Amino acid sequence: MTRGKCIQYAIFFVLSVLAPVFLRNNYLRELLVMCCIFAILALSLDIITGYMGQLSFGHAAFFGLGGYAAALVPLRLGMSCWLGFLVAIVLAAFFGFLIGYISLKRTRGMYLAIVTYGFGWVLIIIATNWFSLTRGTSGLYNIPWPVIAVPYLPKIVLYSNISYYYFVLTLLILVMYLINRLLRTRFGRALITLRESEDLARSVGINPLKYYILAFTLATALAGLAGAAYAYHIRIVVPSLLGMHYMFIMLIMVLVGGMGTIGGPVIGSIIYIWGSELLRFSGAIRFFIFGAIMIMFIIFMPRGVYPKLESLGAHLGRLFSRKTRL
Amino acid sequence: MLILEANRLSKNFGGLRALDSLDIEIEHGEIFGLIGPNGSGKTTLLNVTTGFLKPEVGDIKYKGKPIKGLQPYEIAARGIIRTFQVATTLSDLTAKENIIAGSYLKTNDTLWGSFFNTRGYKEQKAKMSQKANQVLTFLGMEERRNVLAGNLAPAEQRKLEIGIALAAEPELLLLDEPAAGLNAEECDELLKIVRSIQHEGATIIIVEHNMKVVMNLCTRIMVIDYGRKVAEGSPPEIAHNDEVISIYLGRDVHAKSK
Repeated sequence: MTRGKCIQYAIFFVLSVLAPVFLRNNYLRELLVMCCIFAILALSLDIITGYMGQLSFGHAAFFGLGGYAAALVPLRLGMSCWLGFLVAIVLAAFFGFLIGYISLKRTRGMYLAIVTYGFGWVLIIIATNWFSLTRGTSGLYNIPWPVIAVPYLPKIVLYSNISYYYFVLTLLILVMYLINRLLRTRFGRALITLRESEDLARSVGINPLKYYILAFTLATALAGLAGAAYAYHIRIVVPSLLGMHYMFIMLIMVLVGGMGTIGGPVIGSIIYIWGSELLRFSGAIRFFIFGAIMIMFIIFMPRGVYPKLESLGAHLGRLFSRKTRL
Repeated sequence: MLILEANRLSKNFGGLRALDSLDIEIEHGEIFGLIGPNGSGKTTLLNVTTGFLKPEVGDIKYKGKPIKGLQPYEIAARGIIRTFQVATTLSDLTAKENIIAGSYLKTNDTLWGSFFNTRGYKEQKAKMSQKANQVLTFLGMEERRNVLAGNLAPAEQRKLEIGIALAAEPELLLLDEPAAGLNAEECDELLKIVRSIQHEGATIIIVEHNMKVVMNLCTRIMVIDYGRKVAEGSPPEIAHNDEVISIYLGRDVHAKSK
């Protein structure tokens, strides 16, 4: 890791740990929690768009699936929330594998986008109509919050914003580390080679289907994790979590923040959450303004905010370097 | 010893017969040239051999074992690596990263190792980096290793393509028009590179249009037209073969010149 990257991550770490100290308002802390949850979600989508170079329009379905699984485990089975997290991840991975296998075996690109869109809708319809399981559009509420109960230590209840924030921040950092490390293995290299040229990849021994399915399953598992984190904080899950509203939010975060980078989706999440907050004052037309701003972002920073920040950082670095160049 | 054998290979695209009952035998360690007019089926033959296309009829055996119907990645795992007619270097990655991409089959770093930055992982990374540098030096491109592939000159990109294939340590290397767009000097360099690869023990099949390259490089040449074998033999034999000459110059012209 270069020194610049080290500094970047250090700054991010310090700021994110200290953030609740500077933002004492409970509502603002709520936003911080949302930033982390959606950052994990955006990172999961980025595995598909940024590292696989494909489009999945059904990704929100796995977010919602994770949320429902997380809700049902304590509510219907009476088990702990931690089991809920596990079930959410496993269930999202399972369906991700199934849907991924069917879709990726025969489709790529635009066709894959359409097929995944269809699968997403199937899950939405199931969630809306399987009333006995999901209570339909009324949704599941009163979801309990996780409790960290280690013997001989005091119980930590993850109810308040500040405690939940540090919890999801830890999750986010773990996810960022996992993805970063994954990219530096044979798996990551195969994926990137596949993204750049599927033919070349095949000619040097890479099995496209194997890697696409693995990456897709990982992405859906992480989306499920984000969904569970969401469920245990907001404590209500409704079918719209599987729908296009969240799908587009995720896409915006990834596109504006920067595809194919670790910092990109995180920045995208921060921009989206804080951006839509700052625009609150404008009332109904805020979506219009927000849309216009997003368009500006894409026009002037097509690779995303994070790559732009990186190149600015490189420029600044050159300004401060000791050697003067001619 | 025969490294590659194909019998009665046929491939149709709808009504178009791209390969017509073709037989080939490639000896281990030779540089085999495949020439013929545009559209004669040369690239189709490469595609069928490496699994990118499936033949309707015929068998292919590599080192005695059948490989018909296998996927390209399985064939690559057995030691047959190909390059492409169109440049398929990874333009947004550096030259060195491109070479590393080609070394997929020869590396095995696990997530565990990566996660905990184990010593084994670090060693593997260093070995991978070293091998990539070796390939780049072999091609005379070590100074360009951090240049994005998209920014390389076309001749360098062609060399890089060969480098990516070399990273996979092929026993049988299939080059698809490697001299396309190269000037005389670059062609000479290509000749040297291919001879060195043969010297390292690989067998090479080269599809080419550039006669100077083919005649200078190949131990044996096969000429195909309309998917059918027209002639096969040593370079001098082919150069003086009536039928080959008439294919390239046109039957009427050749008849008139006699």
